[in-house]
Amino acid sequence: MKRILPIILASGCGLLALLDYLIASPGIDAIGGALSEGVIILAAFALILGVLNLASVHGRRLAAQGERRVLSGLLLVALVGTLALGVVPGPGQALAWIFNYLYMPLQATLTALLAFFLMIAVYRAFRLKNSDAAILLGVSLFLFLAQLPLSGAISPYLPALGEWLLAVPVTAGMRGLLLGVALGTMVTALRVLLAIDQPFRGE
Amino acid sequence: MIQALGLGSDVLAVLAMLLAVAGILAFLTLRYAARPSAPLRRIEAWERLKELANRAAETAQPIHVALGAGPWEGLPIAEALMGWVALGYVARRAAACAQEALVTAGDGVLWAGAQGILNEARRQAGIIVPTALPEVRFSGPDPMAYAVGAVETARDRPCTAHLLAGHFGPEGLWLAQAAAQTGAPRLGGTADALTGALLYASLDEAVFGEDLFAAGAYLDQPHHLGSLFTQDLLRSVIIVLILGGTVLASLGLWG
Repeated sequence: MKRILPIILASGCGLLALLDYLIASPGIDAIGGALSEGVIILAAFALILGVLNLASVHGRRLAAQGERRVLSGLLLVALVGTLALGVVPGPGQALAWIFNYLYMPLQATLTALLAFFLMIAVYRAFRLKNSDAAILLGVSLFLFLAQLPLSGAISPYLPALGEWLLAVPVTAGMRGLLLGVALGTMVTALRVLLAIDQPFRGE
Repeated sequence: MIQALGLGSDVLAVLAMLLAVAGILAFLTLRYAARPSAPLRRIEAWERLKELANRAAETAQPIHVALGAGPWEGLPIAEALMGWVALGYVARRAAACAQEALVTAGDGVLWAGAQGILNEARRQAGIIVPTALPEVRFSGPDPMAYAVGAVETARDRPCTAHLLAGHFGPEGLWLAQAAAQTGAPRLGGTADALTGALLYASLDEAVFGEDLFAAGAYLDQPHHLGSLFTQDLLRSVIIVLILGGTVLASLGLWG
Protein backbone atom coordinates (compact mmCIF):
# COMPACT_ATOMS: atom_id res chain seq x y z
CA MET A 1 0.00 0.00 0.00
CA LYS A 2 2.87 2.35 0.87
CA ARG A 3 4.16 1.86 -2.68
CA ILE A 4 0.85 1.75 -4.54
CA LEU A 5 -0.91 4.75 -2.97
CA PRO A 6 1.57 7.44 -4.20
CA ILE A 7 1.41 5.95 -7.69
CA ILE A 8 -2.40 6.00 -7.74
CA LEU A 9 -2.46 9.55 -6.37
CA ALA A 10 0.16 10.87 -8.82
CA SER A 11 -1.33 9.16 -11.87
CA GLY A 12 -4.89 10.11 -10.86
CA CYS A 13 -4.02 13.78 -10.29
CA GLY A 14 -2.06 13.90 -13.56
CA LEU A 15 -4.94 12.36 -15.47
CA LEU A 16 -7.47 14.75 -13.96
CA ALA A 17 -5.26 17.75 -14.79
CA LEU A 18 -4.97 16.49 -18.38
CA LEU A 19 -8.72 15.96 -18.69
CA ASP A 20 -9.28 19.46 -17.30
CA TYR A 21 -7.42 20.83 -20.34
CA LEU A 22 -9.43 18.76 -22.79
CA ILE A 23 -12.95 18.50 -21.38
CA ALA A 24 -15.28 21.42 -20.65
CA SER A 25 -17.15 20.01 -17.67
CA PRO A 26 -17.89 22.03 -14.49
CA GLY A 27 -17.05 19.05 -12.26
CA ILE A 28 -13.66 18.37 -13.85
CA ASP A 29 -12.95 22.12 -14.06
CA ALA A 30 -13.51 22.40 -10.30
CA ILE A 31 -11.20 19.45 -9.58
CA GLY A 32 -8.55 20.82 -11.97
CA GLY A 33 -8.73 24.23 -10.29
CA ALA A 34 -8.40 22.68 -6.84
CA LEU A 35 -5.39 20.65 -7.97
CA SER A 36 -3.71 23.76 -9.42
CA GLU A 37 -4.29 25.64 -6.16
CA GLY A 38 -2.88 22.68 -4.24
CA VAL A 39 0.28 22.78 -6.37
CA ILE A 40 0.71 26.50 -5.65
CA ILE A 41 0.31 25.93 -1.91
CA LEU A 42 2.74 23.00 -1.89
CA ALA A 43 5.25 25.00 -3.97
CA ALA A 44 4.99 27.86 -1.44
CA PHE A 45 5.79 25.47 1.42
CA ALA A 46 8.69 24.03 -0.58
CA LEU A 47 9.95 27.58 -1.09
CA ILE A 48 9.89 28.16 2.69
CA LEU A 49 11.95 24.98 3.14
CA GLY A 50 14.36 26.21 0.49
CA VAL A 51 14.77 29.57 2.20
CA LEU A 52 15.40 27.80 5.52
CA ASN A 53 18.08 25.73 3.75
CA LEU A 54 19.68 28.92 2.40
CA ALA A 55 19.66 30.49 5.88
CA SER A 56 21.08 27.35 7.47
CA VAL A 57 23.92 27.02 4.91
CA HIS A 58 24.95 30.66 5.33
CA GLY A 59 24.45 30.50 9.10
CA ARG A 60 26.95 27.64 9.21
CA ARG A 61 29.37 29.58 6.99
CA LEU A 62 29.09 32.56 9.29
CA ALA A 63 29.71 30.42 12.37
CA ALA A 64 32.68 28.69 10.72
CA GLN A 65 34.48 32.07 10.47
CA GLY A 66 35.55 31.27 6.91
CA GLU A 67 36.80 33.64 4.23
CA ARG A 68 33.36 34.61 3.00
CA ARG A 69 31.62 35.00 6.35
CA VAL A 70 31.02 38.70 5.66
CA LEU A 71 29.06 37.87 2.49
CA SER A 72 27.05 35.23 4.34
CA GLY A 73 26.33 37.74 7.10
CA LEU A 74 25.17 40.29 4.54
CA LEU A 75 22.90 37.73 2.92
CA LEU A 76 21.32 36.81 6.26
CA VAL A 77 20.81 40.46 7.25
CA ALA A 78 19.22 41.19 3.85
CA LEU A 79 17.02 38.09 4.08
CA VAL A 80 15.76 38.76 7.60
CA GLY A 81 15.48 42.53 7.02
CA THR A 82 13.45 42.17 3.82
CA LEU A 83 11.26 39.53 5.40
CA ALA A 84 10.61 41.78 8.42
CA LEU A 85 9.73 44.74 6.20
CA GLY A 86 7.44 42.53 4.16
CA VAL A 87 5.41 41.18 7.06
CA VAL A 88 5.11 44.49 8.95
CA PRO A 89 1.65 45.94 8.26
CA GLY A 90 1.67 49.28 6.42
CA PRO A 91 1.91 50.80 2.95
CA GLY A 92 5.03 48.79 2.11
CA GLN A 93 7.06 51.76 0.86
CA ALA A 94 10.27 50.41 2.37
CA LEU A 95 9.82 47.14 0.53
CA ALA A 96 9.10 49.01 -2.72
CA TRP A 97 12.28 51.06 -2.14
CA ILE A 98 14.35 47.89 -1.70
CA PHE A 99 12.81 46.44 -4.84
CA ASN A 100 13.24 49.57 -6.99
CA TYR A 101 16.63 50.80 -5.77
CA LEU A 102 18.46 47.63 -4.75
CA TYR A 103 16.94 44.57 -6.38
CA MET A 104 16.23 45.99 -9.83
CA PRO A 105 19.63 47.70 -10.31
CA LEU A 106 21.40 44.53 -9.16
CA GLN A 107 19.34 42.51 -11.63
CA ALA A 108 20.12 44.99 -14.41
CA THR A 109 23.85 44.83 -13.59
CA LEU A 110 23.91 41.04 -13.75
CA THR A 111 21.91 41.02 -16.97
CA ALA A 112 24.24 43.60 -18.52
CA LEU A 113 27.17 41.29 -17.79
CA LEU A 114 25.54 38.73 -20.08
CA ALA A 115 26.69 40.72 -23.11
CA PHE A 116 30.33 40.26 -22.08
CA PHE A 117 29.78 36.61 -21.23
CA LEU A 118 28.20 36.12 -24.64
CA MET A 119 31.23 37.64 -26.35
CA ILE A 120 33.59 35.33 -24.45
CA ALA A 121 31.35 32.33 -25.22
CA VAL A 122 31.19 33.21 -28.92
CA TYR A 123 34.97 33.63 -29.03
CA ARG A 124 35.33 30.15 -27.53
CA ALA A 125 32.76 28.61 -29.88
CA PHE A 126 34.27 30.20 -32.98
CA ARG A 127 37.75 28.84 -32.42
CA LEU A 128 38.12 26.45 -35.33
CA LYS A 129 38.42 23.28 -33.27
CA ASN A 130 36.20 21.13 -35.52
CA SER A 131 34.02 21.22 -38.64
CA ASP A 132 30.90 22.19 -36.63
CA ALA A 133 32.65 25.30 -35.35
CA ALA A 134 33.81 26.13 -38.89
CA ILE A 135 30.24 25.89 -40.24
CA LEU A 136 28.94 27.96 -37.30
CA LEU A 137 31.59 30.61 -37.90
CA GLY A 138 31.03 30.71 -41.67
CA VAL A 139 27.23 30.97 -41.49
CA SER A 140 27.33 33.52 -38.65
CA LEU A 141 29.76 35.78 -40.51
CA PHE A 142 27.74 35.49 -43.70
CA LEU A 143 24.46 36.36 -41.93
CA PHE A 144 26.17 39.22 -40.14
CA LEU A 145 27.32 40.57 -43.49
CA ALA A 146 23.98 39.92 -45.23
CA GLN A 147 22.03 41.86 -42.60
CA LEU A 148 24.19 44.98 -42.86
CA PRO A 149 22.33 47.93 -44.49
CA LEU A 150 24.99 48.18 -47.23
CA SER A 151 25.00 44.47 -48.06
CA GLY A 152 22.81 45.19 -51.11
CA ALA A 153 25.54 47.43 -52.46
CA ILE A 154 28.05 44.55 -52.33
CA SER A 155 25.71 42.22 -54.22
CA PRO A 156 21.92 42.27 -54.75
CA TYR A 157 21.86 38.53 -54.03
CA LEU A 158 23.42 38.89 -50.56
CA PRO A 159 20.33 40.14 -48.61
CA ALA A 160 18.07 37.67 -50.46
CA LEU A 161 20.38 34.77 -49.64
CA GLY A 162 20.51 35.90 -46.00
CA GLU A 163 16.72 35.99 -45.83
CA TRP A 164 16.51 32.56 -47.45
CA LEU A 165 18.95 31.13 -44.91
CA LEU A 166 16.85 32.47 -42.03
CA ALA A 167 13.50 31.50 -43.56
CA VAL A 168 14.34 28.00 -44.77
CA PRO A 169 17.27 26.11 -43.14
CA VAL A 170 17.21 27.99 -39.80
CA THR A 171 13.41 27.82 -39.47
CA ALA A 172 13.43 24.15 -40.49
CA GLY A 173 16.07 23.41 -37.87
CA MET A 174 14.14 25.31 -35.19
CA ARG A 175 10.91 23.48 -36.06
CA GLY A 176 12.71 20.14 -35.96
CA LEU A 177 14.09 21.04 -32.53
CA LEU A 178 10.65 22.12 -31.29
CA LEU A 179 9.05 18.91 -32.59
CA GLY A 180 11.70 16.85 -30.81
CA VAL A 181 11.11 18.78 -27.58
CA ALA A 182 7.33 18.39 -27.89
CA LEU A 183 7.66 14.63 -28.41
CA GLY A 184 10.11 14.38 -25.50
CA THR A 185 7.77 16.37 -23.26
CA MET A 186 4.77 14.23 -24.19
CA VAL A 187 6.58 10.94 -23.64
CA THR A 188 8.10 12.17 -20.35
CA ALA A 189 4.64 13.16 -19.09
CA LEU A 190 3.18 9.82 -20.16
CA ARG A 191 6.01 7.99 -18.36
CA VAL A 192 4.92 9.67 -15.11
CA LEU A 193 1.21 9.09 -15.81
CA LEU A 194 1.86 5.39 -16.48
CA ALA A 195 4.08 5.19 -13.36
CA ILE A 196 7.08 4.09 -15.45
CA ASP A 197 8.92 6.99 -13.78
CA GLN A 198 8.18 7.79 -10.16
CA PRO A 199 10.00 11.05 -9.38
CA PHE A 200 7.88 11.51 -6.25
CA ARG A 201 9.62 8.44 -4.78
CA GLY A 202 13.09 9.73 -5.60
CA GLU A 203 13.41 7.28 -8.52
CA MET B 1 -22.36 11.27 -23.06
CA ILE B 2 -19.76 12.60 -25.49
CA GLN B 3 -21.83 15.73 -26.13
CA ALA B 4 -22.52 16.19 -22.39
CA LEU B 5 -18.78 16.28 -21.70
CA GLY B 6 -18.26 18.81 -24.50
CA LEU B 7 -16.02 16.44 -26.46
CA GLY B 8 -15.52 17.78 -29.97
CA SER B 9 -13.89 15.79 -32.74
CA ASP B 10 -10.56 17.57 -32.13
CA VAL B 11 -10.58 16.59 -28.42
CA LEU B 12 -11.48 13.02 -29.30
CA ALA B 13 -8.60 12.97 -31.80
CA VAL B 14 -6.16 14.21 -29.12
CA LEU B 15 -7.43 11.63 -26.62
CA ALA B 16 -7.17 8.84 -29.20
CA MET B 17 -3.63 9.92 -30.09
CA LEU B 18 -2.60 10.05 -26.42
CA LEU B 19 -4.08 6.61 -25.78
CA ALA B 20 -2.28 5.20 -28.82
CA VAL B 21 1.04 6.75 -27.76
CA ALA B 22 0.53 5.51 -24.18
CA GLY B 23 -0.11 2.00 -25.53
CA ILE B 24 3.02 2.08 -27.71
CA LEU B 25 5.06 3.49 -24.81
CA ALA B 26 3.83 0.78 -22.40
CA PHE B 27 4.52 -1.97 -24.96
CA LEU B 28 8.03 -0.77 -25.83
CA THR B 29 8.90 -0.13 -22.17
CA LEU B 30 7.91 -3.69 -21.24
CA ARG B 31 9.83 -5.02 -24.21
CA TYR B 32 13.05 -3.15 -23.39
CA ALA B 33 12.67 -3.85 -19.66
CA ALA B 34 12.89 -7.54 -20.55
CA ARG B 35 15.80 -7.03 -22.98
CA PRO B 36 17.55 -3.79 -22.02
CA SER B 37 19.96 -3.29 -24.88
CA ALA B 38 19.78 -1.49 -28.19
CA PRO B 39 22.24 0.23 -30.53
CA LEU B 40 22.22 3.95 -29.79
CA ARG B 41 23.94 6.79 -31.60
CA ARG B 42 26.59 8.49 -29.51
CA ILE B 43 25.64 11.63 -27.56
CA GLU B 44 28.93 13.19 -26.47
CA ALA B 45 27.57 14.98 -23.40
CA TRP B 46 26.15 11.83 -21.81
CA GLU B 47 29.31 9.82 -22.63
CA ARG B 48 31.40 12.56 -21.07
CA LEU B 49 29.18 12.55 -17.99
CA LYS B 50 29.89 8.84 -17.51
CA GLU B 51 33.65 9.50 -17.73
CA LEU B 52 33.36 12.41 -15.32
CA ALA B 53 31.34 10.29 -12.87
CA ASN B 54 34.24 7.79 -12.88
CA ARG B 55 36.69 10.61 -12.30
CA ALA B 56 34.55 11.99 -9.47
CA ALA B 57 34.63 8.56 -7.82
CA GLU B 58 38.44 8.52 -8.04
CA THR B 59 39.06 12.07 -6.88
CA ALA B 60 36.20 12.27 -4.34
CA GLN B 61 35.32 15.64 -5.81
CA PRO B 62 31.60 15.81 -6.63
CA ILE B 63 29.92 16.74 -9.89
CA HIS B 64 27.99 19.95 -9.30
CA VAL B 65 24.46 19.38 -10.63
CA ALA B 66 22.70 22.68 -11.36
CA LEU B 67 18.95 22.09 -11.67
CA GLY B 68 18.08 25.66 -12.67
CA ALA B 69 15.57 28.11 -11.29
CA GLY B 70 11.84 27.66 -10.87
CA PRO B 71 10.18 25.95 -13.79
CA TRP B 72 6.69 26.00 -12.37
CA GLU B 73 5.53 29.38 -13.66
CA GLY B 74 6.20 28.69 -17.32
CA LEU B 75 5.47 24.97 -16.94
CA PRO B 76 8.56 23.44 -18.62
CA ILE B 77 8.19 20.63 -16.08
CA ALA B 78 9.52 17.95 -18.44
CA GLU B 79 12.94 19.67 -18.40
CA ALA B 80 12.87 19.66 -14.61
CA LEU B 81 12.06 15.95 -14.64
CA MET B 82 14.99 15.29 -16.98
CA GLY B 83 17.21 17.30 -14.62
CA TRP B 84 16.14 14.93 -11.87
CA VAL B 85 16.93 11.94 -14.11
CA ALA B 86 20.49 13.20 -14.69
CA LEU B 87 20.83 13.99 -10.98
CA GLY B 88 19.64 10.46 -10.16
CA TYR B 89 22.53 9.01 -12.19
CA VAL B 90 25.11 11.26 -10.54
CA ALA B 91 23.60 10.59 -7.09
CA ARG B 92 23.66 6.80 -7.55
CA ARG B 93 27.28 6.88 -8.73
CA ALA B 94 28.27 9.06 -5.77
CA ALA B 95 26.30 6.91 -3.29
CA ALA B 96 27.93 3.72 -4.61
CA CYS B 97 31.29 5.17 -3.48
CA ALA B 98 29.80 6.64 -0.28
CA GLN B 99 30.67 10.11 -1.52
CA GLU B 100 28.89 13.41 -1.17
CA ALA B 101 27.03 15.12 -3.98
CA LEU B 102 26.63 18.83 -4.71
CA VAL B 103 23.31 20.08 -6.04
CA THR B 104 21.96 23.59 -6.47
CA ALA B 105 18.33 24.44 -7.15
CA GLY B 106 16.51 27.72 -7.61
CA ASP B 107 13.08 26.40 -6.79
CA GLY B 108 11.65 24.89 -3.63
CA VAL B 109 10.04 21.95 -5.45
CA LEU B 110 13.25 21.17 -7.36
CA TRP B 111 15.18 21.43 -4.09
CA ALA B 112 12.82 19.07 -2.25
CA GLY B 113 12.83 16.61 -5.17
CA ALA B 114 16.64 16.62 -5.24
CA GLN B 115 16.69 15.78 -1.52
CA GLY B 116 14.42 12.81 -2.21
CA ILE B 117 16.60 11.59 -5.09
CA LEU B 118 19.80 11.75 -3.03
CA ASN B 119 18.12 10.03 -0.07
CA GLU B 120 16.79 7.25 -2.32
CA ALA B 121 20.21 6.78 -3.97
CA ARG B 122 21.84 6.40 -0.57
CA ARG B 123 19.12 4.11 0.73
CA GLN B 124 19.66 1.85 -2.31
CA ALA B 125 23.41 1.88 -1.63
CA GLY B 126 22.77 0.83 1.97
CA ILE B 127 23.85 4.12 3.49
CA ILE B 128 21.91 5.51 6.46
CA VAL B 129 20.62 8.91 5.40
CA PRO B 130 19.73 12.01 7.38
CA THR B 131 16.38 13.63 6.63
CA ALA B 132 17.86 16.81 5.13
CA LEU B 133 21.10 16.82 3.18
CA PRO B 134 23.34 19.89 3.28
CA GLU B 135 24.75 19.06 -0.16
CA VAL B 136 21.49 20.17 -1.77
CA ARG B 137 21.54 23.96 -1.74
CA PHE B 138 18.72 26.36 -2.45
CA SER B 139 20.30 29.35 -4.18
CA GLY B 140 17.41 31.78 -4.60
CA PRO B 141 14.15 31.69 -6.54
CA ASP B 142 15.08 34.43 -9.02
CA PRO B 143 16.95 33.06 -12.10
CA MET B 144 19.92 35.46 -11.92
CA ALA B 145 20.15 35.22 -8.12
CA TYR B 146 20.10 31.44 -8.54
CA ALA B 147 22.97 31.54 -11.04
CA VAL B 148 25.11 33.74 -8.76
CA GLY B 149 24.34 31.59 -5.72
CA ALA B 150 25.04 28.36 -7.61
CA VAL B 151 28.46 29.63 -8.74
CA GLU B 152 29.28 30.68 -5.17
CA THR B 153 28.31 27.20 -3.96
CA ALA B 154 30.46 25.56 -6.63
CA ARG B 155 33.41 27.74 -5.62
CA ASP B 156 33.12 26.63 -2.01
CA ARG B 157 34.59 23.24 -2.84
CA PRO B 158 36.49 21.73 -5.78
CA CYS B 159 34.19 20.02 -8.30
CA THR B 160 34.96 17.44 -10.96
CA ALA B 161 32.49 19.07 -13.35
CA HIS B 162 29.42 21.27 -13.60
CA LEU B 163 26.29 19.69 -15.06
CA LEU B 164 23.49 22.05 -16.09
CA ALA B 165 20.40 19.87 -16.25
CA GLY B 166 16.96 21.43 -16.16
CA HIS B 167 15.24 24.56 -17.31
CA PHE B 168 17.54 27.51 -18.01
CA GLY B 169 17.05 30.92 -19.51
CA PRO B 170 19.83 33.48 -20.10
CA GLU B 171 21.06 32.81 -16.54
CA GLY B 172 22.39 29.51 -17.93
CA LEU B 173 25.00 31.48 -19.89
CA TRP B 174 25.91 33.42 -16.73
CA LEU B 175 26.26 30.21 -14.75
CA ALA B 176 28.23 28.40 -17.47
CA GLN B 177 30.69 31.24 -18.00
CA ALA B 178 31.17 31.95 -14.29
CA ALA B 179 31.65 28.22 -13.62
CA ALA B 180 34.42 28.22 -16.28
CA GLN B 181 36.57 30.12 -13.77
CA THR B 182 36.71 27.00 -11.59
CA GLY B 183 38.51 25.21 -14.43
CA ALA B 184 36.19 22.18 -14.27
CA PRO B 185 34.47 20.88 -17.43
CA ARG B 186 30.92 22.11 -17.98
CA LEU B 187 28.22 20.12 -19.71
CA GLY B 188 24.47 19.94 -19.95
CA GLY B 189 21.75 21.68 -21.86
CA THR B 190 18.18 22.75 -22.03
CA ALA B 191 15.18 22.22 -24.28
CA ASP B 192 14.73 25.93 -24.97
CA ALA B 193 16.07 26.66 -28.47
CA LEU B 194 17.37 30.18 -27.80
CA THR B 195 19.04 29.31 -24.50
CA GLY B 196 20.37 26.18 -26.19
CA ALA B 197 22.28 28.37 -28.64
CA LEU B 198 23.81 30.32 -25.75
CA LEU B 199 24.75 27.11 -23.93
CA TYR B 200 26.24 25.58 -27.09
CA ALA B 201 28.63 28.50 -27.21
CA SER B 202 29.52 28.37 -23.54
CA LEU B 203 29.55 24.70 -22.47
CA ASP B 204 32.22 22.12 -23.24
CA GLU B 205 29.55 19.57 -24.19
CA ALA B 206 25.96 20.62 -24.82
CA VAL B 207 22.77 18.66 -25.46
CA PHE B 208 19.73 20.13 -27.18
CA GLY B 209 16.07 19.42 -27.44
CA GLU B 210 15.29 15.74 -27.71
CA ASP B 211 18.82 14.67 -26.67
CA LEU B 212 18.06 16.08 -23.23
CA PHE B 213 15.09 13.72 -22.95
CA ALA B 214 17.32 10.75 -23.83
CA ALA B 215 19.34 11.14 -20.61
CA GLY B 216 17.82 8.16 -18.78
CA ALA B 217 18.27 5.71 -21.65
CA TYR B 218 21.90 6.73 -22.16
CA LEU B 219 22.86 6.83 -18.48
CA ASP B 220 21.60 4.04 -16.24
CA GLN B 221 17.88 3.56 -16.82
CA PRO B 222 17.47 1.03 -19.64
CA HIS B 223 13.68 1.02 -19.25
CA HIS B 224 13.80 4.53 -20.78
CA LEU B 225 14.81 2.87 -24.06
CA GLY B 226 11.10 2.22 -24.62
CA SER B 227 10.29 5.94 -24.49
CA LEU B 228 13.29 6.72 -26.70
CA PHE B 229 12.00 4.39 -29.41
CA THR B 230 8.45 5.71 -28.95
CA GLN B 231 9.80 9.19 -29.73
CA ASP B 232 11.63 7.82 -32.79
CA LEU B 233 8.46 6.12 -33.99
CA LEU B 234 6.40 9.28 -33.55
CA ARG B 235 9.05 11.31 -35.33
CA SER B 236 8.93 8.89 -38.26
CA VAL B 237 5.13 9.23 -38.40
CA ILE B 238 5.45 13.04 -38.40
CA ILE B 239 8.02 12.91 -41.22
CA VAL B 240 5.72 10.68 -43.29
CA LEU B 241 2.78 13.02 -42.61
CA ILE B 242 4.79 16.12 -43.58
CA LEU B 243 6.07 14.50 -46.78
CA GLY B 244 2.62 13.08 -47.63
CA GLY B 245 0.97 16.43 -46.96
CA THR B 246 3.53 18.23 -49.11
CA VAL B 247 3.01 15.84 -52.02
CA LEU B 248 -0.80 15.99 -51.73
CA ALA B 249 -0.78 19.80 -51.47
CA SER B 250 1.62 20.05 -54.46
CA LEU B 251 -0.70 17.86 -56.52
CA GLY B 252 -3.66 20.02 -55.52
CA LEU B 253 -5.37 17.10 -53.79
CA TRP B 254 -5.36 18.59 -50.27
CA GLY B 255 -5.38 21.98 -48.55
